[in-house]
Amino acid sequence: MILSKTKINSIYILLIIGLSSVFSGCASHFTSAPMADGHLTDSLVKTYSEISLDSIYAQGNKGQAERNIEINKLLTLSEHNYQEFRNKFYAGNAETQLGFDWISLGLSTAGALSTGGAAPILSGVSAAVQGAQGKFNSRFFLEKTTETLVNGMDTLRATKKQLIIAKMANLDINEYSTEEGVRDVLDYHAAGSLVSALVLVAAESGQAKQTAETELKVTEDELAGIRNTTFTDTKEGQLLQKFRMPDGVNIDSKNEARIRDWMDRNGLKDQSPTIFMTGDPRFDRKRKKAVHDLNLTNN
Amino acid sequence: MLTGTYSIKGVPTANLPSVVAGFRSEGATVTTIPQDDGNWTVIAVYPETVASPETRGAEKHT
Repeated sequence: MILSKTKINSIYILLIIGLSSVFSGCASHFTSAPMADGHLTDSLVKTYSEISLDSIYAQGNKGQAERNIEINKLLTLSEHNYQEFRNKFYAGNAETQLGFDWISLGLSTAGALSTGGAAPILSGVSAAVQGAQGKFNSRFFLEKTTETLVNGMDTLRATKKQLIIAKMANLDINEYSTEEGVRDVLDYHAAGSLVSALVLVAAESGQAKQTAETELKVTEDELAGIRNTTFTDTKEGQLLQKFRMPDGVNIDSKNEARIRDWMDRNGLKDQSPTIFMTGDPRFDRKRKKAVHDLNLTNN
Repeated sequence: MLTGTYSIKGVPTANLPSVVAGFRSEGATVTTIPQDDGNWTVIAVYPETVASPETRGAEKHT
């Protein structure tokens, strides 16, 4: 639907007046957009479905305050739609509606997007979402991974929103144009898709695995080399000591053999059992594992 | 087989017997040194491994 320029401007004026109580958008002062009520977001959706990006740019490029107002409105729309999607996803009804409907964000006007820098992003995300859609229909998937994926989306969006807010607050219109702001909002909006969340989760799990492996290697190398340490009184150390010396002085040879066998199998072959049990916080993780593996928790 | 010198600082008096007994059971010679704060430093010296004649012979040929 194409509206006349006059009508578009009228809508804008009404919107800006109507939004003034929601956004404290005076001069360069900026506060993050709150969640809008239903009436406001309905109005925003309706309005943005009828306005091209060019007209947004025209409004926003007047100055930092105008830019922030425009970006704030888009953020509000994105948050509104994200919350709706999130609720549907939690309820298990998102099989046929992955991510967002870009039309609902009001930025899908073909002419506007084809001339903006956001087009490649949009088409890429849309294709990815469509391509992945069939894979998300599994009930098992929805039930088991909903929390993880929502957390992933929330994390991504929070990070991107922080960046947008920082740019809005600190950069003037020459340093951060409305066009760039809209692209950032699109990016922020795209972060609220299951595809983005999956990419994040996969990346984080891979990184976590690598970090854990590195830590394990460093720790074992370190532990094998500890010669001088400080006495550390831990619950696990006490359990191990009690297992090794039930009366506090004499070694129980059978239990001692089990401890040494465990240490041999856990990278502590060349370490003193006494050092292992009574010294250094660096042994904490190993001590906990030993207590668990030797089933000493109830002793 | 443990070799070399190990030490633990800050051993409370109450824990001293078990720490000393632990090191001794591992074949170490144990020395205890009192600290100013009332705790103890325990030094455990393990004997150096002496290579057997067979091993020494093998080493010469490699």
